[in-house]
Amino acid sequence: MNTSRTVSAHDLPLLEVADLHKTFHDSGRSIHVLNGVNLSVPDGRNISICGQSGSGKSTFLNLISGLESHEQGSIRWNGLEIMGLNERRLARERGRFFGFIFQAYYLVPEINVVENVLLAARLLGRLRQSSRDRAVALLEQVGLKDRMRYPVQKLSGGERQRVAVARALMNEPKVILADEPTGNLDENTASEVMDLIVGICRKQGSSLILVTHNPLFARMMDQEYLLHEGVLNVVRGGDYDRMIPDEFKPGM
Amino acid sequence: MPWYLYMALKQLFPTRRGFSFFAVMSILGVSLGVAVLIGVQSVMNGFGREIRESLLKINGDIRIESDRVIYDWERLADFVEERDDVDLVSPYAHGVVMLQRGNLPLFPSVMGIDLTRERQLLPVDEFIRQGSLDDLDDDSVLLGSVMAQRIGATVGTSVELYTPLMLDRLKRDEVLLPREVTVAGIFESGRHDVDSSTLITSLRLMQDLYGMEDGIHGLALRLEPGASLGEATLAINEALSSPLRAVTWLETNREYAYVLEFEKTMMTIILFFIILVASFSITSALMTSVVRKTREIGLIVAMGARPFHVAMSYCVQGLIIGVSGTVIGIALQALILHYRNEIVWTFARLTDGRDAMLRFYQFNDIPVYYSMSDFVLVSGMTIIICLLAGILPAMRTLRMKPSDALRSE
Repeated sequence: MNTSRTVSAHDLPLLEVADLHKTFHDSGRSIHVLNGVNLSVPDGRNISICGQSGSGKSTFLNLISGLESHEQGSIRWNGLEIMGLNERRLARERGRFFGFIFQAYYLVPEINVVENVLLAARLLGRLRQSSRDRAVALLEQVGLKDRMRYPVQKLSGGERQRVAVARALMNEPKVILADEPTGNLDENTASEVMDLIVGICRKQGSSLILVTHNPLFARMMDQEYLLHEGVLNVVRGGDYDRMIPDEFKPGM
Repeated sequence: MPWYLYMALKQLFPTRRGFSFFAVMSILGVSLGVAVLIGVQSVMNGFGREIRESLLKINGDIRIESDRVIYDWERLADFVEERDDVDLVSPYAHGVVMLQRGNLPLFPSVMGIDLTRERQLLPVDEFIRQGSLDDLDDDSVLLGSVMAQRIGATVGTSVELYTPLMLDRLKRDEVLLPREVTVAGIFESGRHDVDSSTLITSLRLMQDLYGMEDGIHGLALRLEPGASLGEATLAINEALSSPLRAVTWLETNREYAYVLEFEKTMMTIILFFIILVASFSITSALMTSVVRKTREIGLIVAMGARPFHVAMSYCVQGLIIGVSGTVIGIALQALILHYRNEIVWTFARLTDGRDAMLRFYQFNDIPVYYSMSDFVLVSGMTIIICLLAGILPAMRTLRMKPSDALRSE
């Protein structure tokens, strides 16, 4: 059935990657990391990306967030093609569009919990009284309101990651990029933190792109992808689910 | 507040601890450098000023000299005194004599002065430590304090004076007996070289000793307040004919003034190395911080910061250290210089060096003179050096690729 309809800005995918290629050059050797990756993330959809170590998952996250440049293909943030944007515009748009959560938290040790959360707003020049209220509200949601004046070094790993989650959501980003966010945590804490990330992203209306090795966490997402030999394949939740060989499916 | 300024301040003064070890050590290093540099410069300025003032007191503003004895000098004195920019004129004759007390000979410089005029021209009375200037006549002399102590002379002691004129007479088979004079007073100018080898006589006595009849060797001039030394000297020189010439006190003591200035410059250059060394420590500590915080820098860029602003945060840290160090250093040197005499005399007492210091430096108080240009130069250079110290680490952050920074171990 072929249904024709008018495409409005509302219908545009939140994040669209088309025919993305990335090659690293090392000592005269070319390593093709991505060979024509396509991805479309609609608003409010959570996806996971799995793949072997070194398959290029983190590189893919860096590329779609504009932290790394690509040679070929297209990356659009809410319809905005990022190739050719100047450094200032790219930084500003990235700060608004993405929130980041990393395995090692990367909190700033010189400032306390609430100041770390507020740093995200400060970097975009958006620090207002309302930002402070939002930071406190986010810390309440991640269960750290009573520790907002704590130095971050005194927090446990799970608590630090909760601070990182609050910081990632501070600027109300459209997309949260989470690169192995539970990699440094024990099983129970990891589950708690993952539930928190998924729950809070849904509540805030942000899409989540999760890079993980954990099949359970991958299944928590609306769609699962596998990055293999430079190509991103849908494992679950797409029309091509059946085309993925079993050996590439997470948990197989 | 821009975020890079906020981050720079937080890295130096973290929320909980208040001060980072790096900030304390860096600011302390710069403060010490600034305190020592401005302190030493101010003391050097003070010494220079004291010495200049004492030179001025001894020499007057301008001297009119000649290679030969000047006769008919009253006409010259009147001519010079008529000038609007000249306040007073006093004649003098000078030379060297042999002074003997018992069997102890000395070879001091002798300065013959017109007492009435000289007293108006220079603060001669200020220098008298024993006796009185009023007692100086044609049969008495004033001795420098160090010289008097050396030969054990006090007021009323008789000494004999031998002059080059006696040798001249001897060549003509004439014998001129030494002139016996009494010590009318003992003076102390504050300059060791003057007090250890200068004898003051009346102009008449000096003229007799040198057989100059009514001649003199020169005229000492004092200018009106506010008169230009250079312009007055130039104008007088234009009016004089050779071999007469006018020289300023600065020209007379040119080498002395040069040595003072040279000492200050050398001291400044040497002491600037303290600040330079402190700046190397700042660079090294900031560079370590950049390496340690590589992944944080990557994250900050990922969250929307521009790499240029990340670099700025490191430059600003250097700037904050420079400004804080300069302010604290200035306050520190003000405190040290306020108690300078107590500090120096305590040190001198501990090392039994008080007499030696007094003899060598000739000042009871350590003189200090603050020069605005020194403050501006030292503050400016310190802040620039500290800012440059932050540039190298800042450039490293600029070269960082955020994706590599996030991946770094």
